[in-house]
Amino acid sequence: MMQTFVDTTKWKFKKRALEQILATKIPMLVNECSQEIMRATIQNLSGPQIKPGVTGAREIGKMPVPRRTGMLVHSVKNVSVGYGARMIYADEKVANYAKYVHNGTRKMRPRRFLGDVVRERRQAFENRWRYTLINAINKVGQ
Amino acid sequence: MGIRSTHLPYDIQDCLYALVGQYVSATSPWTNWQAIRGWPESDILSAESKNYIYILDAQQAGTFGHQGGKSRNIWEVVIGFWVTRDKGGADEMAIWVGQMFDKFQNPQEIHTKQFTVTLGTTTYTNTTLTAMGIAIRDIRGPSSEMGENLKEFRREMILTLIA
Repeated sequence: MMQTFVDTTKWKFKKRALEQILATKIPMLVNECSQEIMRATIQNLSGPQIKPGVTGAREIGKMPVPRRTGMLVHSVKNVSVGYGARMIYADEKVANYAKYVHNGTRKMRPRRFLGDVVRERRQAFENRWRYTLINAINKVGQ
Repeated sequence: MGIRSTHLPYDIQDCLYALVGQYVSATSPWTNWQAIRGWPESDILSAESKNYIYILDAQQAGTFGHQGGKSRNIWEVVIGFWVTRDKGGADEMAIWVGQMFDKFQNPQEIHTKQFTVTLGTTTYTNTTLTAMGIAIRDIRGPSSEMGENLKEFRREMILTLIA
C-alpha cells in the first residue's frame, strides 16, 4: 500500500530541523561551558610557586592556591560522560589531597577552586543556554 | 528591611548566625550543638566542648529581576556540621541533617522564628528573616563526607535565599 503524506503545517519538517539544530547546539554549549570552568579552575590553582619544603610562606592557605609541584593543576580533568554531559573533577589518583584543599581541614580553610567557579558562573551559563537555544528554535520557526 | 544593601553578604551571614544561635540556645536537639560564624579555625575548635554548626559567608549565585525595580540577588550560604565520633558521630549527623530540612523547608517556621541581631550599630530585637528582608528559597545537601579524620564527620548543606 502506498501512502502519501502532506505536511501542510510543516510540523514534520520543523521537528526534524529542530532536532538537528539542538543536536549541534547542545554539545557546543556544553563544550564551551566546560572549557570555561576548566580555564577558571586552573587559574584558581595557579598561585605563586613555593619551593617544596618551604613552610610559613605568606601565600600558603590563600587563593589562588599556591603551587609546590603542580600536581593539583594536572589533576583537573574534563571528560565526556555521554551526550551533552561532561564531568570536571580533580583526579585523586594524581593528587590525593585535592579534596582537602577544596573542602578544607581542621588546619586549613576551604579553597573551593572548582565549586566557586560553578557557583559564580551558573546564572551566566543558564542565560547563555537560554538565549542560544531560543534563538536557534526561533530560526527553525521562521 | 533590616539588612544593609552595602553590607549584604555579611548581614545575611549575621542574620543566619543569629537565627541558628537562637535554635542552639533554646531548642532541643539543637542545644547539643554550638554555632560558629565563618570557618572554624583549629584554635576555636579545640576550645569548643560541643559539636558545632558553622555558617560560611554568603556568595551571590544569581539575580532576581523585577521590571522597573532594583533586582534582588540570589545568595548561597554553606552551613556545615562537624561532629566527632565520641559526641555522636554519624547518628548525630543524621539528626542534624533532618533538623535542617525540618526547619529550612518549612517557610512558616523559618520566616517567623524570632532572633536578635546587631547589624553595624543597630540592634534588631525579636526580629525575623522576613522582617530583615531575607527569603529562604531552598536547602540542598548534605554533601558527601568531608572530614579528613576517620573519627570526625563533616557535611555541608547549601542554603539558597533571596535578599
